[in-house]
Amino acid sequence: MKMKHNMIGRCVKICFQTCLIDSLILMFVTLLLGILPLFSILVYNEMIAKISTYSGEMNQIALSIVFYCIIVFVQNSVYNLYHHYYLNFHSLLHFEKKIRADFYKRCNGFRLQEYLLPEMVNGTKRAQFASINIFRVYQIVVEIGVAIVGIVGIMGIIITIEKRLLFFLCFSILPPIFDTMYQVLQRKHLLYQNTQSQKEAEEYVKFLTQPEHRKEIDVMDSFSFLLSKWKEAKECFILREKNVLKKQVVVSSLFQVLQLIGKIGAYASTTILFINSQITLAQYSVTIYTFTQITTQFQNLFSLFGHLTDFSVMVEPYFRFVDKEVADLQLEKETNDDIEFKLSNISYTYPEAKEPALKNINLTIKKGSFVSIVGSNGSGKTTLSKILLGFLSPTGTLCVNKKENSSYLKDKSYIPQQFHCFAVSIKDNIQLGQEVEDKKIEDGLVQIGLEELVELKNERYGLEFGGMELSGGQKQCLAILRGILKESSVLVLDEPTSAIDPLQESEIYRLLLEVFQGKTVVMVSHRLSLTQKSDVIVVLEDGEVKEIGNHSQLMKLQGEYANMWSRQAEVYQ
Amino acid sequence: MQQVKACCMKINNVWGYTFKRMGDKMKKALLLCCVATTFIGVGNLVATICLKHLIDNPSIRTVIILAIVWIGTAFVGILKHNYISKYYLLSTYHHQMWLLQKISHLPFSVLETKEYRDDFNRIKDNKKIEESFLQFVEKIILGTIGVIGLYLLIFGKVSYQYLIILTSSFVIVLPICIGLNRRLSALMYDYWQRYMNNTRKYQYISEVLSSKDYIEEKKVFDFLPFFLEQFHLEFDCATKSNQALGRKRITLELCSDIVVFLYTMFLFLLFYYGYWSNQFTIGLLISLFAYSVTMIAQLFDGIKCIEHVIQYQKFCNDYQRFLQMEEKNAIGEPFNKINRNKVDIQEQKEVLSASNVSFSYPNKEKEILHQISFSFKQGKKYAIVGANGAGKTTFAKILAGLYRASTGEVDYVEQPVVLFQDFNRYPMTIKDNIMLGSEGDREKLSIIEQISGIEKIIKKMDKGYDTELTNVKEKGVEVSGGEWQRIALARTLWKDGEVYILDEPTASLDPLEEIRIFQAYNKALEDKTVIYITHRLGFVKNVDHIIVLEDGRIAEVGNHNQLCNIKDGIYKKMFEEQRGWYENET
Repeated sequence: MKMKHNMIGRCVKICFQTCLIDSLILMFVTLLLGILPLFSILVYNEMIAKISTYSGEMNQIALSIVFYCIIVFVQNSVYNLYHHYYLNFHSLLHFEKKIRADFYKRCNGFRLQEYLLPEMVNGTKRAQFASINIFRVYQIVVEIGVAIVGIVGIMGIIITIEKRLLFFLCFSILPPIFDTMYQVLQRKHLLYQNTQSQKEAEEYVKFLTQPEHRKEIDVMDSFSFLLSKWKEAKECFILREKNVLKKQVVVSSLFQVLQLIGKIGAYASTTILFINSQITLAQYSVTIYTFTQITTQFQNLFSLFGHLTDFSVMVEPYFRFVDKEVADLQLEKETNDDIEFKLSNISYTYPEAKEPALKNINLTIKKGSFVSIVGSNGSGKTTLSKILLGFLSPTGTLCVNKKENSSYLKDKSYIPQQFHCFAVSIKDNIQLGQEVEDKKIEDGLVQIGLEELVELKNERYGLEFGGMELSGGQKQCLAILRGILKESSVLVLDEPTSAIDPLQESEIYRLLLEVFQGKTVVMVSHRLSLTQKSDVIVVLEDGEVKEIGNHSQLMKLQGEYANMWSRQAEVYQ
Repeated sequence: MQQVKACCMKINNVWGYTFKRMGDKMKKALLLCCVATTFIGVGNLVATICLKHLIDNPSIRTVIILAIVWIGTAFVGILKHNYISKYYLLSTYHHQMWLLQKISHLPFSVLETKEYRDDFNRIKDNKKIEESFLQFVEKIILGTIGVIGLYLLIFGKVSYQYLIILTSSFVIVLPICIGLNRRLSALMYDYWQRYMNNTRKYQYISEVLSSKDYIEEKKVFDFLPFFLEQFHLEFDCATKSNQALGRKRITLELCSDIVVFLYTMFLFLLFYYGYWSNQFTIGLLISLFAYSVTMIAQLFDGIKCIEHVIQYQKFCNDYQRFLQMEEKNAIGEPFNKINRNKVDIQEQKEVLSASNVSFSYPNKEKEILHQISFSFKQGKKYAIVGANGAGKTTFAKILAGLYRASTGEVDYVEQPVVLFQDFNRYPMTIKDNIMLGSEGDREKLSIIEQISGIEKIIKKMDKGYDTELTNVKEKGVEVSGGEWQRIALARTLWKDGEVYILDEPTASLDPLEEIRIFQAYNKALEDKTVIYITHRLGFVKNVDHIIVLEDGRIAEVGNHNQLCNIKDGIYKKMFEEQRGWYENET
């Protein structure tokens, strides 16, 4: 409960921080909309009083009718103007833009390390969705405040007429409070449970509808199976919802009856007062009028509380996400200027994993050297490269030549195994925010064998937004080009040519060897062809360094590496 | 008047759509909704009459009647709400299921188009639109009952002229409002359509900026500022059209607000005149005031909701169009079945053949494949090699029946089994990932286990085959790329077929494993036709036929030795080039 209050407070604070003017406008308009009904009751009261006692001229009475109508009109049009226009088309969009941008900056602070944690799974998506609702929470908070003001006002009006009526009013208010509380609790429980099924169902829909996944489903004829899986998840969701609805109907009927008893009591007692001439006709009709008003006000208030809970459940992932602590990269300063990385006793275990991926690695990488890491699947090659890039925080000491954590990656470049092409222009794909001259890009495209893209470099990639499609090899070439065009002194490569044809592969190898000059290079590969050119080859097995040395040394050793090499070379004999 | 007529026509059309499209459930929901709303409307009318009596000659009996009416309407309200919530729950489910079933019949090439993605994005959610449609129906019913009730309340108490004035006021005001709202609604759906398309762009950038998949590139290349700028651009672009429409909308809405205001004032004054000229009692006047406010609100809200009807209609149009999209069968099977008994000259059965196949992507001029003819024989092993962009993958997709050749034909015996380079990683158990719901014996599984090397994975997991994969599930396990590849290999083997197409099946496996897999696969699929697509020439040199593609044409065909004897041959060049890197320098 404390957490919840805290969260609501933070939502309000965020709104004030990001969009102060919009927040103030919301507060002002809501207050206005809360007070206008009170005012209209008073005007109505006067109007009826005038009519019923025949006091005043016909003109005057007509005037007060017009006045009443104007107030109602103002109330309606302010509501429409604000809620249907300003709030939706300005404030919310404004807020969404800002909060999203903030959110992405926050995401940027995280490293792979944080993303691997189990609670972060799908956390970003949910958090991002949640962030948009923060303004809604604020809106609801303001509306609740105003609704309370309105209710107190109406009660004030009733008290001026007859104090005893308050008792019946309270009686008609209590049941809906319980009703709302019950529903809120039920919903909260359900929301937590159902996000899981919902997520699953969405995942299956993704597989069934997106072409990149569908092609396999088509040829394997597994559509009906996946559809049944989707149905399963969805039905689970529906069943739970249905159960809640069933309970809800009973509970709300019960409370509704209780509430009606209170309301009828209030009506009956007013009528008795009127029959006994304790109140005038005007007071009587106004009381009945305000009864209806106050009931709507209360219903409004309770549904607001319901919304508040719904929304605070929704914004919760955002705060959980934002509050996630980012562990600083633990780096030691290496004093020897010739050494780029020095790893001592480096171990790493993935979250939730039983076995460590790397065990006690000791390794020194000299500046300007070309180091290859080889080994079988699951030996920890990629993990090691990710540690060198600072994506993961291992135990042990990692000494680097440059110590500043913030600019650690500034002079490093990376060609990942799972590269991505983004749905922006080819040029932007290569630059990705780095400043690279046009000339360099064009030359690079020619060198890497993508001459055909030089002309098209301003075209968008990706069929999804009506751009052009590239083959897997072309995409990988772009990733390589992106990696080598970044100014860097350290270059990490992870299976750089897995999708490239043999002729082009050779070209690229030659290009890479050229680029490697003067850089510290760490390459992870299954293919031993380029590896033999490296200064040091590290053979990993089960997360430990098995062999280390250059090609000829390792071949002499007749160990794991020699075995791999000869097996691979064999097929080309 | 014309407008009203057109509007009525449209509403008529929508009704037609509704009944055609919706099963009995929607009809039932609609009917129940109508009945319940009528009940509530009548209840309100009775309550107003009670109110009048309370003021004119107060008695406890009237209060009791009022109480009964209230309880009745409250219960009907609760039941209706409950029923409708249940209905939406099921209808979204059915709607999505229909969509998915339709999608299952769409040819793969359609799925890749932008139009499909836009369409699907628009119609995937029906709840909102159905909800507003039912709301419209409710409001119109309440409004109509309101108007009828008004006449009932004053009937017999007022003069003939009074009724004429009241009636003519309705006749004047309603068309104005309908006209205003019709303009509004025409804008709305088009805008919505455009908006949805625009949001897709910035949603994509959001994904890039926040998803785990892109984190490494984001860190190394520090692309946050660049994509943030893109995000602002796309977001502004999406909101701009949005805001322009918002302004139009609010102008029209304010106009109708003014009409409502003037009309309310007119009615109030008219009622007061009735009281002043002693046609009404004070009780009737007061209850008419209260009643007319609600009545006008309901009536004009209903009219405002006309946009929902038109939205609903456009939604139905979109949906219909989606349902009428050409299906696989509508354009004919992508393949022609080969007569099994047809025996080739070399006494070998043909299992898959392409004759004169050419292909170019829809709306693209460039031809990817030109006039390819080749026939694959039973039990033989093939390899398709060639430079990037030579058309290997496209050819494979055509052979697999995903694309229909622009010209030429593909004949087949059975659907080929394909292992794609970017195979699917389903969030299911290992067992489901391999078997995909089909049944099979334990023996087969254990053979596959050995060939694909999943043994190790199974042993490692506590729950063996029942381990849930990916973190979509609560207790799901993430496995590495190499392990996924093995699971995909096992999936391919599990599926019985005549022809297997394997696209870079060992991309993420280590060298020793790679060699083993190729050997084991060839052995396991001895009597089947296997087509490898790979850049790793060393592994395919033992296949029966190597097809070298160049610029969408078959450049060379033959076995390893034949191809190596072609002077200046592409294959020879490639093989030598790759081998060059394995020359032992020591």
